[in-house]
Amino acid sequence: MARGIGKERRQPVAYLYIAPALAVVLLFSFVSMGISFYVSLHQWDPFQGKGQFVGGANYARALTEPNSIFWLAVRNTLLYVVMAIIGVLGTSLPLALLCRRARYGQSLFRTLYFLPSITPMVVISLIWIWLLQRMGAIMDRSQTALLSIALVGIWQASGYNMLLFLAGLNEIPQEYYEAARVDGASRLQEFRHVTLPLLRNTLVFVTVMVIIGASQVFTQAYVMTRGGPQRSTEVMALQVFKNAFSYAGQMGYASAMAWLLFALLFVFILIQMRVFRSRRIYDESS
Amino acid sequence: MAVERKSVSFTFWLILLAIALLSVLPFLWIILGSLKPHLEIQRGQLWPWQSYTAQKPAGPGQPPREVSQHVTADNYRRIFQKLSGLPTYYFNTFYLSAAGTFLALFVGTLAAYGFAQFKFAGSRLLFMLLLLTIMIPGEVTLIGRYELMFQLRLYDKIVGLLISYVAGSLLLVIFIMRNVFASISQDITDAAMLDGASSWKIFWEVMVPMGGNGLAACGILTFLNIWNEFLFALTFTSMDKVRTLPVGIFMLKGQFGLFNSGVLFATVLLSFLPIVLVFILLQKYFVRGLSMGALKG
Repeated sequence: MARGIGKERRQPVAYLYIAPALAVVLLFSFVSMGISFYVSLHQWDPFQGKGQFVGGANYARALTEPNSIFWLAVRNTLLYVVMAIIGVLGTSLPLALLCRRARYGQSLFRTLYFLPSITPMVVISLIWIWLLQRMGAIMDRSQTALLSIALVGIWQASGYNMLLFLAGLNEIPQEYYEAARVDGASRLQEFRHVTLPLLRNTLVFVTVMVIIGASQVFTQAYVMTRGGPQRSTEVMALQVFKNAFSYAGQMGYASAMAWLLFALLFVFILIQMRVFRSRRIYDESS
Repeated sequence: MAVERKSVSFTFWLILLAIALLSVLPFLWIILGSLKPHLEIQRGQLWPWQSYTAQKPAGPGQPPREVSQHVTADNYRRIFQKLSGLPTYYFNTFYLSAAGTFLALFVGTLAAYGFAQFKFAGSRLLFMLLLLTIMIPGEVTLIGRYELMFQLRLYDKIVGLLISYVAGSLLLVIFIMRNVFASISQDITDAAMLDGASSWKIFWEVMVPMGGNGLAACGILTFLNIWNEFLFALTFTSMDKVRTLPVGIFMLKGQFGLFNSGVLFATVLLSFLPIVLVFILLQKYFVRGLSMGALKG
Protein backbone atom coordinates (compact mmCIF):
# COMPACT_ATOMS: atom_id res chain seq x y z
CA MET A 1 0.00 0.00 0.00
CA ALA A 2 2.80 2.37 0.86
CA ARG A 3 4.21 1.66 -2.58
CA GLY A 4 0.89 2.63 -4.11
CA ILE A 5 1.05 6.03 -2.44
CA GLY A 6 4.59 6.59 -3.59
CA LYS A 7 3.59 5.69 -7.10
CA GLU A 8 0.62 8.03 -6.96
CA ARG A 9 2.83 10.92 -5.95
CA ARG A 10 5.18 10.30 -8.84
CA GLN A 11 2.40 10.30 -11.39
CA PRO A 12 2.83 12.69 -14.28
CA VAL A 13 -0.71 13.90 -13.57
CA ALA A 14 1.08 16.75 -11.74
CA TYR A 15 1.91 18.33 -15.10
CA LEU A 16 -1.80 18.64 -15.81
CA TYR A 17 -2.25 20.65 -12.62
CA ILE A 18 0.58 23.06 -13.29
CA ALA A 19 0.18 23.30 -17.06
CA PRO A 20 -2.41 26.13 -17.25
CA ALA A 21 -0.50 28.36 -14.84
CA LEU A 22 2.78 27.62 -16.52
CA ALA A 23 1.38 28.37 -19.97
CA VAL A 24 0.01 31.78 -18.95
CA VAL A 25 3.17 32.76 -17.08
CA LEU A 26 5.45 31.54 -19.85
CA LEU A 27 3.53 33.49 -22.47
CA PHE A 28 3.05 36.72 -20.56
CA SER A 29 6.32 36.84 -18.67
CA PHE A 30 8.98 34.94 -20.55
CA VAL A 31 7.73 35.25 -24.12
CA SER A 32 7.06 38.95 -23.63
CA MET A 33 10.54 39.32 -22.15
CA GLY A 34 11.87 37.65 -25.26
CA ILE A 35 9.86 39.96 -27.50
CA SER A 36 11.13 42.95 -25.57
CA PHE A 37 14.70 41.72 -26.01
CA TYR A 38 14.10 41.25 -29.75
CA VAL A 39 12.72 44.79 -29.94
CA SER A 40 15.73 46.13 -28.07
CA LEU A 41 18.01 44.96 -30.88
CA HIS A 42 16.05 46.92 -33.47
CA GLN A 43 15.13 50.40 -34.53
CA TRP A 44 11.53 49.40 -33.84
CA ASP A 45 8.42 50.70 -35.55
CA PRO A 46 5.45 49.77 -33.32
CA PHE A 47 2.91 50.59 -36.04
CA GLN A 48 4.33 48.04 -38.46
CA GLY A 49 5.42 45.58 -35.79
CA LYS A 50 8.90 45.31 -37.24
CA GLY A 51 12.12 47.22 -37.43
CA GLN A 52 15.65 47.47 -38.68
CA PHE A 53 18.27 45.40 -36.88
CA VAL A 54 20.80 47.59 -35.09
CA GLY A 55 22.52 45.08 -32.79
CA GLY A 56 23.66 46.51 -29.49
CA ALA A 57 23.34 50.13 -30.58
CA ASN A 58 20.41 50.86 -28.29
CA TYR A 59 22.32 49.45 -25.32
CA ALA A 60 25.44 51.38 -26.22
CA ARG A 61 23.40 54.54 -26.53
CA ALA A 62 21.82 54.09 -23.09
CA LEU A 63 25.16 53.35 -21.43
CA THR A 64 27.50 55.78 -23.12
CA GLU A 65 25.50 58.70 -24.44
CA PRO A 66 26.71 61.99 -22.96
CA ASN A 67 24.25 63.26 -20.33
CA SER A 68 22.63 59.84 -20.64
CA ILE A 69 19.04 59.87 -19.39
CA PHE A 70 19.53 56.21 -18.54
CA TRP A 71 22.10 56.84 -15.83
CA LEU A 72 20.11 59.77 -14.55
CA ALA A 73 17.04 57.53 -14.29
CA VAL A 74 19.11 54.81 -12.60
CA ARG A 75 20.41 57.36 -10.09
CA ASN A 76 16.90 58.70 -9.37
CA THR A 77 15.44 55.21 -9.10
CA LEU A 78 18.22 54.12 -6.75
CA LEU A 79 17.67 57.17 -4.56
CA TYR A 80 13.98 56.43 -4.55
CA VAL A 81 14.59 52.80 -3.55
CA VAL A 82 16.85 53.88 -0.68
CA MET A 83 14.26 56.39 0.54
CA ALA A 84 11.54 53.77 0.27
CA ILE A 85 13.49 51.14 2.24
CA ILE A 86 14.38 53.57 5.01
CA GLY A 87 10.91 55.06 5.05
CA VAL A 88 8.91 51.85 4.89
CA LEU A 89 11.03 49.84 7.34
CA GLY A 90 11.42 52.87 9.61
CA THR A 91 7.67 53.32 9.91
CA SER A 92 6.10 49.90 9.54
CA LEU A 93 8.26 47.96 12.01
CA PRO A 94 7.94 50.45 14.91
CA LEU A 95 4.25 50.73 14.11
CA ALA A 96 3.85 46.96 14.30
CA LEU A 97 5.72 46.85 17.63
CA LEU A 98 3.48 49.58 19.00
CA CYS A 99 0.33 48.10 17.58
CA ARG A 100 1.02 44.75 19.20
CA ARG A 101 1.13 46.43 22.59
CA ALA A 102 -2.18 48.19 22.13
CA ARG A 103 -4.78 46.63 24.36
CA TYR A 104 -7.74 48.38 22.86
CA GLY A 105 -8.65 49.07 19.30
CA GLN A 106 -5.92 47.00 17.66
CA SER A 107 -8.17 45.90 14.84
CA LEU A 108 -9.44 49.45 14.33
CA PHE A 109 -5.86 50.74 14.04
CA ARG A 110 -5.04 47.95 11.60
CA THR A 111 -7.94 48.95 9.39
CA LEU A 112 -7.06 52.64 9.49
CA TYR A 113 -3.38 52.05 8.71
CA PHE A 114 -4.33 49.77 5.87
CA LEU A 115 -6.67 52.28 4.24
CA PRO A 116 -3.96 53.89 2.04
CA SER A 117 -2.90 50.46 0.77
CA ILE A 118 -6.29 49.69 -0.70
CA THR A 119 -6.60 53.04 -2.43
CA PRO A 120 -5.46 53.27 -6.06
CA MET A 121 -2.12 55.03 -6.41
CA VAL A 122 -3.63 57.37 -8.98
CA VAL A 123 -6.16 58.54 -6.41
CA ILE A 124 -3.47 58.90 -3.76
CA SER A 125 -1.31 60.90 -6.12
CA LEU A 126 -4.21 63.24 -6.90
CA ILE A 127 -4.94 63.77 -3.19
CA TRP A 128 -1.29 64.48 -2.45
CA ILE A 129 -0.83 66.89 -5.34
CA TRP A 130 -3.45 69.00 -3.67
CA LEU A 131 -2.07 68.51 -0.14
CA LEU A 132 1.55 69.17 -1.09
CA GLN A 133 0.61 72.33 -2.97
CA ARG A 134 -0.89 73.53 0.30
CA MET A 135 2.27 72.70 2.24
CA GLY A 136 4.56 74.74 0.03
CA ALA A 137 6.68 74.12 -3.02
CA ILE A 138 8.06 70.68 -2.09
CA MET A 139 6.92 69.20 -5.37
CA ASP A 140 8.10 72.11 -7.51
CA ARG A 141 11.72 72.18 -6.39
CA SER A 142 14.13 69.78 -8.03
CA GLN A 143 15.91 69.12 -4.71
CA THR A 144 12.78 67.89 -2.96
CA ALA A 145 10.53 66.61 -5.74
CA LEU A 146 11.83 63.04 -5.56
CA LEU A 147 11.50 63.07 -1.79
CA SER A 148 7.90 64.19 -2.12
CA ILE A 149 6.93 61.31 -4.41
CA ALA A 150 8.83 58.95 -2.10
CA LEU A 151 6.87 60.24 0.89
CA VAL A 152 3.65 59.45 -0.95
CA GLY A 153 4.89 55.94 -1.74
CA ILE A 154 5.94 55.36 1.86
CA TRP A 155 2.65 56.72 3.13
CA GLN A 156 0.84 54.18 0.99
CA ALA A 157 3.04 51.14 1.68
CA SER A 158 3.54 51.43 5.46
CA GLY A 159 0.20 49.98 6.51
CA TYR A 160 0.47 46.84 4.41
CA ASN A 161 4.01 46.12 5.54
CA MET A 162 3.01 46.79 9.12
CA LEU A 163 0.48 43.97 8.79
CA LEU A 164 3.25 41.67 7.54
CA PHE A 165 5.47 42.57 10.50
CA LEU A 166 2.55 42.14 12.87
CA ALA A 167 1.96 38.66 11.49
CA GLY A 168 5.67 37.88 11.91
CA LEU A 169 5.71 39.20 15.47
CA ASN A 170 2.72 37.12 16.44
CA GLU A 171 4.60 34.00 15.36
CA ILE A 172 7.38 34.53 17.91
CA PRO A 173 6.63 32.25 20.87
CA GLN A 174 5.89 34.19 24.05
CA GLU A 175 8.27 31.93 26.01
CA TYR A 176 11.31 33.60 24.47
CA TYR A 177 10.25 36.94 25.87
CA GLU A 178 9.55 35.42 29.25
CA ALA A 179 12.99 33.81 29.24
CA ALA A 180 14.60 37.12 28.28
CA ARG A 181 12.75 38.86 31.10
CA VAL A 182 13.88 36.24 33.61
CA ASP A 183 17.47 36.89 32.45
CA GLY A 184 16.91 40.58 33.17
CA ALA A 185 17.08 41.76 29.58
CA SER A 186 16.14 45.36 28.91
CA ARG A 187 13.52 46.20 26.28
CA LEU A 188 16.27 47.13 23.86
CA GLN A 189 18.20 43.91 24.44
CA GLU A 190 14.97 42.00 24.08
CA PHE A 191 14.42 43.65 20.69
CA ARG A 192 18.02 43.10 19.60
CA HIS A 193 18.37 39.48 20.69
CA VAL A 194 14.87 38.05 20.48
CA THR A 195 12.67 40.05 18.14
CA LEU A 196 15.12 40.94 15.38
CA PRO A 197 16.68 37.48 14.81
CA LEU A 198 13.30 35.75 14.89
CA LEU A 199 11.80 38.34 12.58
CA ARG A 200 14.54 37.91 10.00
CA ASN A 201 12.40 36.01 7.49
CA THR A 202 9.77 38.73 7.48
CA LEU A 203 12.46 41.39 7.35
CA VAL A 204 14.11 39.83 4.29
CA PHE A 205 10.75 39.32 2.61
CA VAL A 206 9.61 42.90 3.22
CA THR A 207 12.94 44.39 2.13
CA VAL A 208 13.07 42.40 -1.10
CA MET A 209 9.45 43.24 -1.90
CA VAL A 210 10.02 46.95 -1.20
CA ILE A 211 13.08 46.94 -3.48
CA ILE A 212 11.16 45.20 -6.25
CA GLY A 213 8.18 47.51 -5.87
CA ALA A 214 10.16 50.73 -5.52
CA SER A 215 12.43 50.03 -8.48
CA GLN A 216 9.28 49.97 -10.63
CA VAL A 217 7.81 53.21 -9.27
CA PHE A 218 5.72 54.79 -11.98
CA THR A 219 2.33 56.18 -11.01
CA GLN A 220 3.39 58.97 -8.65
CA ALA A 221 6.08 60.17 -11.01
CA TYR A 222 3.69 60.06 -13.97
CA VAL A 223 0.70 61.67 -12.26
CA MET A 224 2.37 64.08 -9.83
CA THR A 225 5.51 65.41 -11.48
CA ARG A 226 5.76 63.90 -14.97
CA GLY A 227 9.48 63.53 -14.41
CA GLY A 228 10.13 67.16 -13.60
CA PRO A 229 11.19 69.63 -12.37
CA GLN A 230 14.49 69.54 -14.26
CA ARG A 231 14.24 65.77 -14.73
CA SER A 232 14.65 65.25 -10.98
CA THR A 233 11.89 62.62 -10.87
CA GLU A 234 12.72 60.87 -14.13
CA VAL A 235 12.65 57.33 -12.79
CA MET A 236 13.32 54.19 -14.81
CA ALA A 237 9.74 53.08 -15.43
CA LEU A 238 8.71 56.57 -16.47
CA GLN A 239 11.62 56.82 -18.92
CA VAL A 240 10.79 53.43 -20.42
CA PHE A 241 7.12 54.38 -20.72
CA LYS A 242 7.81 57.79 -22.25
CA ASN A 243 10.32 56.45 -24.77
CA ALA A 244 8.14 53.52 -25.74
CA PHE A 245 4.75 55.19 -25.96
CA SER A 246 5.14 58.97 -26.01
CA TYR A 247 8.20 59.64 -28.15
CA ALA A 248 8.15 58.34 -31.70
CA GLY A 249 10.60 55.68 -32.82
CA GLN A 250 12.23 55.07 -29.44
CA MET A 251 10.70 51.71 -28.56
CA GLY A 252 13.91 49.75 -29.17
CA TYR A 253 15.82 52.17 -26.98
CA ALA A 254 13.14 51.87 -24.28
CA SER A 255 13.40 48.06 -24.37
CA ALA A 256 17.17 48.24 -24.02
CA MET A 257 16.81 50.46 -20.96
CA ALA A 258 14.28 48.06 -19.45
CA TRP A 259 16.64 45.12 -19.97
CA LEU A 260 19.57 46.99 -18.45
CA LEU A 261 17.38 47.76 -15.45
CA PHE A 262 16.51 44.09 -15.14
CA ALA A 263 20.19 43.17 -15.16
CA LEU A 264 20.97 45.76 -12.46
CA LEU A 265 18.06 44.62 -10.30
CA PHE A 266 19.04 40.99 -10.66
CA VAL A 267 22.60 41.61 -9.50
CA PHE A 268 21.36 43.81 -6.68
CA ILE A 269 18.99 41.16 -5.33
CA LEU A 270 21.60 38.40 -5.63
CA ILE A 271 24.04 40.49 -3.60
CA GLN A 272 21.39 41.25 -1.02
CA MET A 273 20.52 37.57 -0.60
CA ARG A 274 24.21 36.76 -0.18
CA VAL A 275 24.58 39.39 2.51
CA PHE A 276 21.57 38.13 4.43
CA ARG A 277 22.71 34.54 4.12
CA SER A 278 26.24 35.24 5.37
CA ARG A 279 24.85 37.17 8.32
CA ARG A 280 22.77 34.19 9.29
CA ILE A 281 25.83 31.96 9.39
CA TYR A 282 27.58 34.54 11.55
CA ASP A 283 24.61 34.63 13.93
CA GLU A 284 24.43 30.89 14.25
CA SER A 285 28.15 30.43 14.90
CA SER A 286 28.34 33.16 17.53
CA MET B 1 4.32 48.85 38.53
CA ALA B 2 0.84 48.19 37.31
CA VAL B 3 0.07 51.93 37.26
CA GLU B 4 3.26 52.69 35.35
CA ARG B 5 2.49 50.05 32.74
CA LYS B 6 -0.98 51.43 32.26
CA SER B 7 0.29 54.98 31.64
CA VAL B 8 2.95 53.67 29.25
CA SER B 9 0.38 51.78 27.25
CA PHE B 10 -1.82 54.87 27.21
CA THR B 11 1.04 56.87 25.69
CA PHE B 12 1.48 54.16 23.08
CA TRP B 13 -2.20 54.30 22.39
CA LEU B 14 -2.06 58.07 21.84
CA ILE B 15 0.86 57.68 19.42
CA LEU B 16 -1.04 55.01 17.52
CA LEU B 17 -4.06 57.28 17.34
CA ALA B 18 -1.95 60.17 16.03
CA ILE B 19 -0.49 57.99 13.28
CA ALA B 20 -3.94 56.66 12.46
CA LEU B 21 -5.09 60.25 11.97
CA LEU B 22 -2.17 60.82 9.62
CA SER B 23 -3.33 57.98 7.39
CA VAL B 24 -6.98 59.01 7.50
CA LEU B 25 -6.76 62.81 7.23
CA PRO B 26 -6.26 62.92 3.44
CA PHE B 27 -9.44 60.87 3.04
CA LEU B 28 -11.28 63.23 5.35
CA TRP B 29 -10.17 66.13 3.18
CA ILE B 30 -11.47 64.36 0.12
CA ILE B 31 -14.87 63.86 1.73
CA LEU B 32 -15.04 67.46 2.90
CA GLY B 33 -13.72 68.81 -0.38
CA SER B 34 -16.26 66.88 -2.42
CA LEU B 35 -18.96 68.89 -0.64
CA LYS B 36 -17.46 72.27 -1.47
CA PRO B 37 -17.26 74.36 -4.65
CA HIS B 38 -13.98 74.77 -6.43
CA LEU B 39 -13.20 78.27 -5.18
CA GLU B 40 -13.48 77.29 -1.51
CA ILE B 41 -11.18 74.33 -2.06
CA GLN B 42 -8.63 76.61 -3.67
CA ARG B 43 -8.77 78.84 -0.59
CA GLY B 44 -8.42 75.80 1.67
CA GLN B 45 -11.80 76.40 3.30
CA LEU B 46 -12.98 72.82 3.57
CA TRP B 47 -14.70 72.65 6.92
CA PRO B 48 -18.48 72.42 6.74
CA TRP B 49 -18.86 75.31 9.20
CA GLN B 50 -17.01 77.67 6.88
CA SER B 51 -19.86 79.17 4.94
CA TYR B 52 -19.65 80.82 1.57
CA THR B 53 -21.86 82.85 -0.71
CA ALA B 54 -23.41 80.97 -3.58
CA GLN B 55 -25.32 82.32 -6.55
CA LYS B 56 -28.65 80.62 -6.89
CA PRO B 57 -30.98 81.06 -9.85
CA ALA B 58 -34.12 82.89 -8.78
CA GLY B 59 -36.65 82.24 -11.48
CA PRO B 60 -36.80 83.49 -15.08
CA GLY B 61 -35.88 87.08 -15.79
CA GLN B 62 -34.57 87.77 -12.32
CA PRO B 63 -30.92 88.21 -11.29
CA PRO B 64 -29.54 85.22 -9.32
CA ARG B 65 -29.85 85.71 -5.59
CA GLU B 66 -26.99 85.29 -3.20
CA VAL B 67 -27.35 82.60 -0.56
CA SER B 68 -25.05 81.75 2.30
CA GLN B 69 -24.23 78.04 2.14
CA HIS B 70 -22.12 75.56 4.11
CA VAL B 71 -21.98 72.53 1.85
CA THR B 72 -23.17 71.66 -1.61
CA ALA B 73 -24.09 68.53 -3.54
CA ASP B 74 -23.39 70.24 -6.87
CA ASN B 75 -20.18 68.27 -7.46
CA TYR B 76 -22.04 64.98 -7.31
CA ARG B 77 -24.80 66.29 -9.53
CA ARG B 78 -22.23 67.36 -12.10
CA ILE B 79 -20.59 63.94 -12.10
CA PHE B 80 -23.81 62.27 -13.09
CA GLN B 81 -24.67 64.94 -15.63
CA LYS B 82 -21.33 65.18 -17.36
CA LEU B 83 -19.22 62.11 -16.81
CA SER B 84 -21.08 59.54 -18.83
CA GLY B 85 -18.05 57.22 -18.78
CA LEU B 86 -18.03 56.59 -15.04
CA PRO B 87 -20.48 53.63 -14.99
CA THR B 88 -18.43 51.98 -17.75
CA TYR B 89 -15.20 52.45 -15.79
CA TYR B 90 -16.88 50.97 -12.74
CA PHE B 91 -18.17 47.99 -14.66
CA ASN B 92 -14.83 47.32 -16.38
CA THR B 93 -12.85 47.56 -13.17
CA PHE B 94 -15.27 45.38 -11.26
CA TYR B 95 -15.44 42.80 -14.05
CA LEU B 96 -11.65 42.66 -14.38
CA SER B 97 -11.11 42.39 -10.63
CA ALA B 98 -13.77 39.73 -10.08
CA ALA B 99 -13.02 37.58 -13.13
CA GLY B 100 -9.26 38.07 -12.74
CA THR B 101 -9.35 37.04 -9.10
CA PHE B 102 -11.47 34.00 -9.86
CA LEU B 103 -9.23 32.82 -12.69
CA ALA B 104 -6.00 33.52 -10.83
CA LEU B 105 -7.28 31.64 -7.77
CA PHE B 106 -8.42 28.68 -9.81
CA VAL B 107 -5.39 28.30 -12.06
CA GLY B 108 -2.96 29.23 -9.28
CA THR B 109 -4.43 26.84 -6.73
CA LEU B 110 -4.26 23.99 -9.24
CA ALA B 111 -0.57 24.68 -9.77
CA ALA B 112 0.07 25.07 -6.03
CA TYR B 113 -1.52 21.65 -5.50
CA GLY B 114 0.64 20.20 -8.25
CA PHE B 115 3.79 21.54 -6.65
CA ALA B 116 2.85 20.72 -3.04
CA GLN B 117 1.45 17.24 -3.53
CA PHE B 118 3.46 15.54 -6.25
CA LYS B 119 7.05 14.70 -6.90
CA PHE B 120 7.87 14.92 -10.56
CA ALA B 121 10.81 15.49 -12.82
CA GLY B 122 11.69 19.17 -13.06
CA SER B 123 9.43 20.29 -10.23
CA ARG B 124 12.16 22.33 -8.53
CA LEU B 125 13.28 23.87 -11.79
CA LEU B 126 9.77 24.82 -12.84
CA PHE B 127 9.03 26.32 -9.44
CA MET B 128 12.23 28.38 -9.54
CA LEU B 129 11.25 29.53 -13.02
CA LEU B 130 7.94 30.78 -11.66
CA LEU B 131 9.64 32.45 -8.68
CA LEU B 132 11.97 34.23 -11.06
CA THR B 133 9.05 36.13 -12.57
CA ILE B 134 8.69 38.17 -9.39
CA MET B 135 12.10 39.68 -10.09
CA ILE B 136 11.25 40.68 -13.66
CA PRO B 137 10.50 44.39 -13.57
CA GLY B 138 7.16 45.41 -15.10
CA GLU B 139 9.08 47.66 -17.50
CA VAL B 140 10.65 44.66 -19.24
CA THR B 141 7.40 42.80 -19.80
CA LEU B 142 5.46 45.98 -20.58
CA ILE B 143 6.83 46.50 -24.08
CA GLY B 144 6.81 42.79 -24.85
CA ARG B 145 3.22 42.45 -23.74
CA TYR B 146 2.24 45.50 -25.76
CA GLU B 147 3.62 43.86 -28.91
CA LEU B 148 2.05 40.55 -27.89
CA MET B 149 -1.35 42.24 -27.48
CA PHE B 150 -1.10 43.54 -31.02
CA GLN B 151 -0.02 40.19 -32.46
CA LEU B 152 -2.87 38.36 -30.67
CA ARG B 153 -5.34 41.15 -31.53
CA LEU B 154 -5.98 41.75 -27.84
CA TYR B 155 -5.10 45.44 -27.79
CA ASP B 156 -8.02 47.59 -26.59
CA LYS B 157 -9.87 44.43 -25.49
CA ILE B 158 -10.92 43.67 -21.93
CA VAL B 159 -9.82 40.05 -22.41
CA GLY B 160 -6.27 41.17 -23.10
CA LEU B 161 -6.09 43.07 -19.84
CA LEU B 162 -7.73 40.15 -18.05
CA ILE B 163 -5.13 37.60 -19.16
CA SER B 164 -2.38 40.04 -18.37
CA TYR B 165 -3.73 40.51 -14.84
CA VAL B 166 -4.14 36.78 -14.30
CA ALA B 167 -0.53 36.24 -15.37
CA GLY B 168 0.59 38.97 -12.97
CA SER B 169 -1.38 37.57 -10.02
CA LEU B 170 -0.62 33.86 -10.40
CA LEU B 171 2.72 33.87 -8.64
CA LEU B 172 1.33 35.21 -5.38
CA VAL B 173 -1.45 32.62 -5.35
CA ILE B 174 0.89 29.74 -6.19
CA PHE B 175 3.41 30.81 -3.59
CA ILE B 176 0.94 31.25 -0.73
CA MET B 177 -1.23 28.24 -1.56
CA ARG B 178 1.76 25.93 -1.94
CA ASN B 179 2.77 26.83 1.62
CA VAL B 180 -0.79 26.34 2.80
CA PHE B 181 -1.12 22.93 1.10
CA ALA B 182 2.29 21.81 2.30
CA SER B 183 1.21 22.53 5.88
CA ILE B 184 -1.81 20.23 5.58
CA SER B 185 -1.01 16.92 7.19
CA GLN B 186 0.08 14.17 4.84
CA ASP B 187 -2.00 11.70 6.87
CA ILE B 188 -5.23 13.25 5.66
CA THR B 189 -4.36 12.94 1.98
CA ASP B 190 -2.93 9.45 2.51
CA ALA B 191 -6.18 8.38 4.16
CA ALA B 192 -8.22 9.79 1.31
CA MET B 193 -5.96 8.02 -1.17
CA LEU B 194 -6.44 4.70 0.60
CA ASP B 195 -10.18 5.22 0.27
CA GLY B 196 -9.57 5.28 -3.46
CA ALA B 197 -10.08 9.01 -3.99
CA SER B 198 -8.61 10.41 -7.19
CA SER B 199 -6.12 13.24 -7.04
CA TRP B 200 -8.79 15.61 -8.34
CA LYS B 201 -11.20 14.52 -5.64
CA ILE B 202 -8.53 15.09 -3.00
CA PHE B 203 -7.84 18.51 -4.43
CA TRP B 204 -11.45 19.58 -4.67
CA GLU B 205 -12.93 17.96 -1.57
CA VAL B 206 -10.00 17.99 0.85
CA MET B 207 -7.36 20.57 -0.03
CA VAL B 208 -9.52 23.45 -1.26
CA PRO B 209 -11.91 23.43 1.74
CA MET B 210 -8.97 23.15 4.14
CA GLY B 211 -7.11 26.01 2.50
CA GLY B 212 -10.07 28.38 2.86
CA ASN B 213 -8.28 31.07 4.86
CA GLY B 214 -5.30 31.14 2.53
CA LEU B 215 -7.63 31.34 -0.45
CA ALA B 216 -9.50 34.25 1.11
CA ALA B 217 -6.28 36.15 1.78
CA CYS B 218 -5.02 35.51 -1.78
CA GLY B 219 -8.39 36.50 -3.21
CA ILE B 220 -8.52 39.82 -1.38
CA LEU B 221 -4.92 40.70 -2.26
CA THR B 222 -5.44 39.83 -5.93
CA PHE B 223 -8.71 41.75 -6.11
CA LEU B 224 -7.08 44.84 -4.61
CA ASN B 225 -4.07 44.63 -6.92
CA ILE B 226 -6.21 44.39 -10.03
CA TRP B 227 -8.65 47.08 -8.87
CA ASN B 228 -5.74 49.51 -8.40
CA GLU B 229 -3.58 48.61 -11.40
CA PHE B 230 -2.64 51.58 -13.55
CA LEU B 231 0.35 51.07 -15.86
CA PHE B 232 -0.95 48.13 -17.92
CA ALA B 233 -4.47 49.55 -18.12
CA LEU B 234 -2.99 52.82 -19.33
CA THR B 235 -0.79 51.15 -21.93
CA PHE B 236 -3.05 48.45 -23.33
CA THR B 237 -6.19 50.52 -23.86
CA SER B 238 -7.01 53.65 -25.76
CA MET B 239 -10.80 53.61 -26.07
CA ASP B 240 -13.21 54.90 -23.45
CA LYS B 241 -15.28 51.71 -23.38
CA VAL B 242 -12.41 49.54 -22.13
CA ARG B 243 -11.05 52.05 -19.63
CA THR B 244 -10.71 51.20 -15.93
CA LEU B 245 -11.34 53.47 -12.96
CA PRO B 246 -7.72 54.47 -12.23
CA VAL B 247 -7.10 55.40 -15.86
CA GLY B 248 -10.52 57.06 -16.15
CA ILE B 249 -9.87 59.21 -13.10
CA PHE B 250 -6.47 60.14 -14.39
CA MET B 251 -8.04 61.26 -17.66
CA LEU B 252 -10.65 63.22 -15.71
CA LYS B 253 -7.89 65.11 -14.01
CA GLY B 254 -6.89 66.41 -17.40
CA GLN B 255 -10.49 67.28 -18.20
CA PHE B 256 -11.69 68.74 -14.92
CA GLY B 257 -8.81 68.92 -12.51
CA LEU B 258 -7.51 72.29 -13.47
CA PHE B 259 -10.74 74.15 -13.13
CA ASN B 260 -12.85 72.08 -10.79
CA SER B 261 -11.25 70.20 -7.94
CA GLY B 262 -14.63 69.72 -6.25
CA VAL B 263 -15.83 67.41 -9.02
CA LEU B 264 -12.48 65.63 -8.96
CA PHE B 265 -12.73 65.06 -5.21
CA ALA B 266 -16.28 63.72 -5.55
CA THR B 267 -15.27 61.33 -8.33
CA VAL B 268 -12.26 60.15 -6.39
CA LEU B 269 -14.46 59.47 -3.37
CA LEU B 270 -16.96 57.48 -5.41
CA SER B 271 -14.15 55.48 -7.01
CA PHE B 272 -12.66 54.02 -3.86
CA LEU B 273 -15.68 53.88 -1.58
CA PRO B 274 -16.77 50.40 -2.80
CA ILE B 275 -13.34 48.87 -2.29
CA VAL B 276 -13.01 50.34 1.20
CA LEU B 277 -16.39 48.87 2.15
CA VAL B 278 -15.47 45.48 0.71
CA PHE B 279 -12.20 45.48 2.58
CA ILE B 280 -13.76 46.44 5.91
CA LEU B 281 -16.31 43.65 5.49
CA LEU B 282 -13.69 41.04 4.59
CA GLN B 283 -10.70 42.16 6.61
CA LYS B 284 -11.22 39.44 9.20
CA TYR B 285 -10.28 36.82 6.60
CA PHE B 286 -7.44 38.87 5.29
CA VAL B 287 -5.77 39.40 8.65
CA ARG B 288 -6.34 35.77 9.56
CA GLY B 289 -4.72 34.67 6.32
CA LEU B 290 -1.71 36.88 6.98
CA SER B 291 -1.27 35.88 10.61
CA MET B 292 -1.63 32.24 9.64
CA GLY B 293 1.86 32.74 8.30
CA ALA B 294 0.67 32.43 4.77
CA LEU B 295 3.20 34.99 3.59
CA LYS B 296 6.06 33.38 5.43
CA GLY B 297 9.11 32.29 3.54
